[in-house]
Amino acid sequence: MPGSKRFLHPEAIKRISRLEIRARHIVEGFLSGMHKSPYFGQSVEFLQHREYVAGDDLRHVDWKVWARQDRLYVKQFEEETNLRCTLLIDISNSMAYGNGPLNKYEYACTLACSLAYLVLRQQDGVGCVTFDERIRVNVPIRTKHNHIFSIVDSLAVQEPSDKTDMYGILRQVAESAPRRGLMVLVSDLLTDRALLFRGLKLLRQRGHDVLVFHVMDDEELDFPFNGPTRFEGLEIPDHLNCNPRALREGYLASLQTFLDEVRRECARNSCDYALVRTSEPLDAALATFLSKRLAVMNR
Amino acid sequence: MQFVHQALTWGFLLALAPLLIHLINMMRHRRVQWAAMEFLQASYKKHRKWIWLKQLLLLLARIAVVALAVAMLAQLKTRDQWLSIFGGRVTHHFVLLDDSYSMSDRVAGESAMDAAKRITADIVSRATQEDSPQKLTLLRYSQTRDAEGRSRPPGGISNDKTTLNTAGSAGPAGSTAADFNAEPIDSNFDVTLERALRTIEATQLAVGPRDALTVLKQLSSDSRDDTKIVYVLSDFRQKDWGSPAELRQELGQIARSGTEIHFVNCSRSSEPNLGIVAIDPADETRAAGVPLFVNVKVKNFGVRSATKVQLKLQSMFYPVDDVAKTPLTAVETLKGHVDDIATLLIDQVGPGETVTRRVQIYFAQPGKHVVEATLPEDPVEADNHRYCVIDFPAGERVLVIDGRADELNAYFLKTAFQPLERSNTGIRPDLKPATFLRDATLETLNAYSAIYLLDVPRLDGRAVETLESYVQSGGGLAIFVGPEVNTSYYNQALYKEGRGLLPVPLGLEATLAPALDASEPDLDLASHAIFSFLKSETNPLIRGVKIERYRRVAEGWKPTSQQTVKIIARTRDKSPLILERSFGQGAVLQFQTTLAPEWNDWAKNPSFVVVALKMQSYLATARRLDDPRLVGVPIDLKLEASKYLPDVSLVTPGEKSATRQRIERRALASSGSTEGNELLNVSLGTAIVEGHLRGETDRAGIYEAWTKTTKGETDLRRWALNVDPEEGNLEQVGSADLLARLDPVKLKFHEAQQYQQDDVASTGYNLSTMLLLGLVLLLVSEQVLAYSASYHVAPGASR
Repeated sequence: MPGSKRFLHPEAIKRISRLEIRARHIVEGFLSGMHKSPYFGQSVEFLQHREYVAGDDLRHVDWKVWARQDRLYVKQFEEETNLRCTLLIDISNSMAYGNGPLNKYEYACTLACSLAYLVLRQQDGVGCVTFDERIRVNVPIRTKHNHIFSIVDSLAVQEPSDKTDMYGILRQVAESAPRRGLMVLVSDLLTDRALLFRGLKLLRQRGHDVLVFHVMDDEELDFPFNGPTRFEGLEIPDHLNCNPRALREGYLASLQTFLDEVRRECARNSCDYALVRTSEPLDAALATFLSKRLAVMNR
Repeated sequence: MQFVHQALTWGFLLALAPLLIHLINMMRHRRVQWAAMEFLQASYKKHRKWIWLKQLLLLLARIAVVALAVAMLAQLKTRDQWLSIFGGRVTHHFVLLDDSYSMSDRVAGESAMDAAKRITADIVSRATQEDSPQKLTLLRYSQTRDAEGRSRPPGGISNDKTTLNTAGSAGPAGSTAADFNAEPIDSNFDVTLERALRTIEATQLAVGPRDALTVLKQLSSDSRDDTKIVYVLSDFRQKDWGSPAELRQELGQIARSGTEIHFVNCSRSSEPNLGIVAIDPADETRAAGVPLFVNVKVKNFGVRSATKVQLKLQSMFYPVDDVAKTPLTAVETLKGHVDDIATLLIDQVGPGETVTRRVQIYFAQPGKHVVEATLPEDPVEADNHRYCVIDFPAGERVLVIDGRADELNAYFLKTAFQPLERSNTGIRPDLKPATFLRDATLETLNAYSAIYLLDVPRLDGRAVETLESYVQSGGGLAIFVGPEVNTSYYNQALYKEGRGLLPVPLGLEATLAPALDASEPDLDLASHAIFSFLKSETNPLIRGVKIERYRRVAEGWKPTSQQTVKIIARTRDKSPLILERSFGQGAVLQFQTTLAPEWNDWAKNPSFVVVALKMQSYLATARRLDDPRLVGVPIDLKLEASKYLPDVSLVTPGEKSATRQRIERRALASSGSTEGNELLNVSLGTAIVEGHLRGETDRAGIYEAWTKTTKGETDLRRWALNVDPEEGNLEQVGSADLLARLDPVKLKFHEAQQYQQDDVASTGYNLSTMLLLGLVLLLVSEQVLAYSASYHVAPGASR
């Protein structure tokens, strides 16, 4: 498929294929899988005893306890289910910025496709939502291997446009996802910060495991401009004539404040956060992030 | 505040360049589509004021850098600011302009005077650009001459518009001497100055700086509170500055008053200058039809020899009829007859050498003839011409009084004066008896160039007094004493114990003993003008003269130091035979023997003719004294009121004969008049015209005074005024030498060509060094500011 080559890089896929995406929190899947479920099931992991009530299956009565205490208890085991992962890709105008091999939008799409491949590879379900002020495309969650192409296609036909309404989108996604799952937000987060944090908080309140990939271009992070420059806003209808060198220090300070705030709010809401540069190799960035996450989970 | 290089001040427009570059950069910015505008705007809002302030400071610093660089290159200079704070002191420029004729020395088309005028204009031009008030006083040497004399109280002759120098002038001399006297220099003053300078040229005078410095000292003392700068624009010739003791004193007094003195040498090294230093007519009888020798002297004032020098001689005279017919109102139009006398070629005139050439001139008609000598053109024109007026009367009248009844003495004398029928010696002997002297007045005797008393026994008292007056006023008297002479009378009335006419008292008659050696001459001649032709050993004529008798000098007489008696001939036995004494302006010759061949045979000897003619020339010398005058010297004419009408037409020379000027003047009673001999006086000299000194005799040439006698006859008098030849000596005093001679006077010596830079350094404080320091500091500040305003590209920055 023509679109798959744009966002699916075989070399990167090869390097990250050993990785796995595990939900840090409880997720609700339809199928049995490798992730913890809120329900009691048939797994080997003993969870607790409960007093027998009429109607319980007698196969679950722990007879050894009845023999010692003469009271009927049933054994309950953890249920393991599959993961429902939703990829939230920001395709607003600000994502179109970038002067390297990949701009932010392309980098985000590649990242999303790679994640989708990983999820599908471990038999979990993945869906994709692209948005700016509204949801542009909503690819439902599927577990089939060829579902990856649906996701790639949905990203390939999109071009960045309009502004971002982060809170509205996140609320909409939260409402449309009745089961708890993994929400992966890939965005530059250049939107109203308060609404962004409200949106993330909402997702967490709904029980979703949230991953935030903060995609930024090198020039946005380093601001290496010289000479008289007219900066024209991609999402804000405003411009600024200035000597960038004079503003660099203030800009970087302001940016750092923003990054710190985002990082802090993500931590407060138990959202995993990763700042990725578009110049950074995707596989390396992804590997680093997922490895760290897994290590934290296993602790 | 002013600049040395005014033209570079246009460079201040470059100070706008940083502003223009800033504006252009604002229009040339790169466009970037930017996502993170929020942070950019936040930074901008936070730092906007600082950014603007730094940019403004940077822009101003860059403008200041350009302005400082231009100011440094244009050499900003300023006067002492403290002076201007405390009331703005006036700067008074005193310019002393040498306008003697050596300043006409022309090299490569520009004379020293041209250079001096250019520098004067330059001084004024600069002064107009000064911030502080400026004044100019311009003094010419020629205008300040005899300033002290002019400042004496007036009294005497004056007419409506002019005041004669001889009469003094009203007001201080300095103010009339200055072309500009403390004239304020405003922005239009250079036009006024240019107009004035156009009329100023080198004169033909030989004036030095002394009078100018005296006037300057007086004028500068009047402006005590001003900042004074004196510029002496001259050629600094050896003649004026060779021994400047007096000038050093004057300059020292000027310098002590805090005045800054600048000497500017306006002349450049020049070619050799030849000058005619004299035209001397020979001291011989002058009469129409009698040839006369004239000596012309040419001097080379240069350091190299001049070769093949052409010396041209011309004569000019007015025919008697033309003089009589020309009305006094048109005398300047009268054209004289001009004849070329000779053109002489002088092969070589060595440096410093004076070459004399002798030329014979001849005028058939009587009158006052002009002889003009001309040299070819050279750097200094004024001394290439010289004039001489020689009076050629119809003849020289001599009075002969013979004591002998047969007038034998007179006969031989007249024969000597007119040896041949057709020969013309110019001498007109007038034989009169001794009684003629008794009734003769001084005026009667003044008509004779010499008087001969030939063995006259005695004279009455009045005749002796008249003769004494005659000789004292320049007449010549020859006394021959023979057997008729009353010795005691002569000793008493004519010798008067040495106070009378007679050189020595008379003694007894004596006979000259025969010579033992026949070859020994009876006459022993001393060196004297009369015997100049006979002294040569090769001339045997005088050796044949035989003296038999003579009169001895009175016994006991000895020449005293007070008496001016010379023995010019002796007898063989060493007795004085011919004696001479000067009496007043005239001369007396005393012969101790007869003129006629009574006591000697000299009158029969051919040498007597020569001696007689030479004696006449010698005795008439005082009467025909030439009147050499220099330009600038006033001409005073005294007329007898009884004989002349008071209206006088004076003619002054112009550049050409066609531009001669006539000045009508009325002679007024002279202060030297005596009762019965009233004199009228008319002068031609320096006059104050409209506040400025004008010399009426400042041009070399022939000056004429045309008068009418009461009988209606025209009387013409002519004078030749010549330049002082020494002024043509272009030898200069070197700057180091001059400074050494004027030590300890503090002054600065400039050459005209390099004057511009030097002068600027002296009239203000040049801030170039300070500006350079300021520029460096400003450049460092600009770099710091630019770094601070983030205009420097950071290492590794890509865009």
